[in-house]
Amino acid sequence: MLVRLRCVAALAVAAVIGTASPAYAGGAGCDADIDGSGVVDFPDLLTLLASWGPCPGCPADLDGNGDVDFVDLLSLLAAWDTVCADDFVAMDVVGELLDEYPHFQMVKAFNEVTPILIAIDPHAHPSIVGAAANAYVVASKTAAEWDGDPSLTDVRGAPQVVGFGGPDIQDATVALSGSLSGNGGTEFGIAYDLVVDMDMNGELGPGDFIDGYDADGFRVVRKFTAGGPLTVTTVTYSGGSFLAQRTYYPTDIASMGQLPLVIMSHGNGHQYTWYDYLGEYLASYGFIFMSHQNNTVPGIETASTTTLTNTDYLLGNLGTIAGGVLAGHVQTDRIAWLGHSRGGEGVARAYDRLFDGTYTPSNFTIDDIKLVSSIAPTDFLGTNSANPHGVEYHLLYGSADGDVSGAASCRICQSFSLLERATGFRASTYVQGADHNDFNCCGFNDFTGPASTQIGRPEAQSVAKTAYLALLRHRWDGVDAAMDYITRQYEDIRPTGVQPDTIVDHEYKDSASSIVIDDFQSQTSTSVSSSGGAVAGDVSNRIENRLDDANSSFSWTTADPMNGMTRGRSSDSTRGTVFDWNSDRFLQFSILPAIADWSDRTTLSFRACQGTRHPNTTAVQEDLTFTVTLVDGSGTSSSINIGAYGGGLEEPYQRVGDGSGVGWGNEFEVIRIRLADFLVNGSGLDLSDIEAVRFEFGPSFGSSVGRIGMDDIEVTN
Amino acid sequence: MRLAQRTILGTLAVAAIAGAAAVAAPPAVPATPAPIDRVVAAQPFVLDDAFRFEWREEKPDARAGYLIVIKVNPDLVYPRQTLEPVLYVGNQVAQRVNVGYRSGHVVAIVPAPLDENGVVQLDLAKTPIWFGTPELPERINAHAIEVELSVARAAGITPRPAAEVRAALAATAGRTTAFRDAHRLVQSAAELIRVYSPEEQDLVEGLLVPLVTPE
Repeated sequence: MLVRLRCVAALAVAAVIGTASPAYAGGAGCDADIDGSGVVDFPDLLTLLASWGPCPGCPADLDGNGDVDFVDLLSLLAAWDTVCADDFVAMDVVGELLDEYPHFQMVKAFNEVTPILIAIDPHAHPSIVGAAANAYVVASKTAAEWDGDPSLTDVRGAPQVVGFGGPDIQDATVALSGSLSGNGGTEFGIAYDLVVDMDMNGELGPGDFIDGYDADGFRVVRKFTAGGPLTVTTVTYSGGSFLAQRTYYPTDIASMGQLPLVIMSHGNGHQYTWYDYLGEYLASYGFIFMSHQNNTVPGIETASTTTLTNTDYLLGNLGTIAGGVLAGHVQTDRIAWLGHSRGGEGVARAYDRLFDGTYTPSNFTIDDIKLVSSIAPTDFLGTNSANPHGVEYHLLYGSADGDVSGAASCRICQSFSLLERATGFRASTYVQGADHNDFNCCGFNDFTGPASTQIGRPEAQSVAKTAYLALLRHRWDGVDAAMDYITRQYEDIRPTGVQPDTIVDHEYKDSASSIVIDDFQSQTSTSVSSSGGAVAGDVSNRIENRLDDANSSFSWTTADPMNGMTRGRSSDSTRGTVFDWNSDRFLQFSILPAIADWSDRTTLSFRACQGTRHPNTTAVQEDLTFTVTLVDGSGTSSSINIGAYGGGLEEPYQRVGDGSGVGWGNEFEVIRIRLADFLVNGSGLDLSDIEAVRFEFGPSFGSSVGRIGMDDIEVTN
Repeated sequence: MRLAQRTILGTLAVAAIAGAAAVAAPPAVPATPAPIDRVVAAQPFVLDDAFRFEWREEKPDARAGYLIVIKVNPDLVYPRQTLEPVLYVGNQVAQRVNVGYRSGHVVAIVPAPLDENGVVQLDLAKTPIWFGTPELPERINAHAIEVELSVARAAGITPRPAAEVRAALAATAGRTTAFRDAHRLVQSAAELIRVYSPEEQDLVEGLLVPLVTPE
């Protein structure tokens, strides 16, 4: 009897579900979601049939009469496909299509007029397939604002009816209609939240999806190579010997609150009046910018002194400079020091002197210096003194620098040593085809490189301006979208106005919340990572060592495997690994159980570079790609080619000199992959139990041959 | 760049690079020790307020000396972030106030002691002036200067002719000028730069900006 009844029920069900499409309900019918999966579906039906008959207290006894019977079955069928979420789902939804797995990239920043897509992975949310919904683009709200007012108002005037296909994420994408403004005034674009209103009730509620509940969903960014909306006033004055300054501020500063302060220390033979382009630009976005006379010719100590004394002078004389208009409007605990060349080393040394306590300023403290950035700095003083320590540090560098050249043969020209010494957040912006004086208005042209690669001063300055604005907005204002411009491949996103063929490489490391898999520092064995896991592979010629070109030449030789690594001297500790391949090869880092749970992290991050002038590098003059595979404890794996997101590891700048061959210093780039991308399309990967990270190289996985350096493999946020 | 065409372009570029010279590389640093070409002008000075002379390791206080204008091989003073040849005047490092690459004229401050009568104790006609080994001036001490001086002498560098020095002094009337402090001294140097190195107008203007608190 029981069996027959189940058959009858199944036949009835078949008729119901054959034509069903998802219906979204916050509560009605949701008792039938017996297993609490969020959807009334087959598992619930099977549970009900398995409980058929007397069954007091059973979840399948939907009417509570003590029997699981036809009444319960009919209730379940009536609620078939109902989505029974207790709440809305906050997750990334907005992004762009990719040509290969993971097929869709969730992003936070879009330039104006760039197509914006939304996608929901049907494997993770099967109920969306075939469902109709309204997509709302809403002016960004905080979580508290959403909680207080869940109503939906589309900035485009009306929501967009959308439907999602299946079975995979690439089938479940929808292009947003209409155009969205990115002109946010002094803000970094305009922030929006995206809501997929599944029950189409005009409110954010159970079953809906939101990208942007507790942070911006995404931002549309106008052409920010152009200046901001604020009119700028410039004043030039002197406080005495080596205290001449030019300060830029919003003309209407009297009506404004406190503004962050950026201070520029010029380089040798440069003038403090040569940074109008940056001063006017940042002031037009609401910063105060001061460029000062810098005593660089005697050396770095004197340069650092003038950075310190000029900072002190400005802060101590706000009541008189420019008639006192700045008084009360300088955010004195949010100061960035920028320095160029000798001045770039000088700002690091100035911070080091504060750190060491050998200089005591009168009007600020070390805690007020929130960020230091060097433009093509020298490295005269070395490890102990040209050292940013834990301050947030950024480096801007042009590959065609004919002065601080970065050459292996010039130790004091190796700017990246300063970056390597920074122990806190650090990032770099490497601009191919820019020379040393492209980053000021008027220094001599020292361009050194193939003539066809010269990008010129306006272009280099466009890159510099936008990098600084993005960096400051990201680090100081917490704008996630700004981070996109300093972490994503430049092939993928660049500020509108920067030429499409300008090549820029980013490095970005923020280890504050990272699980470090291998930093190649504390563990010198090639078979054990710094986190203690086994390292195995069949790549060729792999070694770990200091990132230090050992023979003062960029000529390739097997005797100098760290060729092109101009990032440390014998007193520095920075290390990494190098290796090559000519066929399919792999390198695998086992993850110890203690750090196997990555479920509360968002991103796999590492940096890598091509090895300059190596035969495998010169063999293929293009971006290099390979595949990253995560393997969990049950053996499930998921793989992503780093080229899926655009770009790859840039080929070294095609500059000659410093030995034989073509190619300049190795250009590290950060590669950041969302961990959620490894889950796309039902990969089944368990992020709470990762057993290994495997890098796979060769024709089956990317570039057929290659020689690379790699470092800082981390799981981070 | 992931564009496939870049492979082709890259290959073409590489093929061309072998003959593609650097576009505007800085001039090579001339060999040192290197003499100057000429003393053009010289003016003794005294200051009411001594200043800390940062151009040598000892960082002595200075309150007198000479403002000089010299003609030099421009490549010696091309502005570099790396090491530059150091300008010496006898047993002292000179403070170069301007760059001088385009004009070939360098304006420099040379500290010197005062005698008991308040006269600047530096005879430019008996003192060699030259560019020594590239270094950061702040790392140069008395011993290093001695070494550089003996190397210069061994290389045949001698003081400038007395007639040239006399003419240089005459160019500024030769009288000792008193300034309140180093800031005013540098502003005076700026006026010399305006005359002898007019290409550096932006430097001159930068040095002559008004004080926040006027006198």
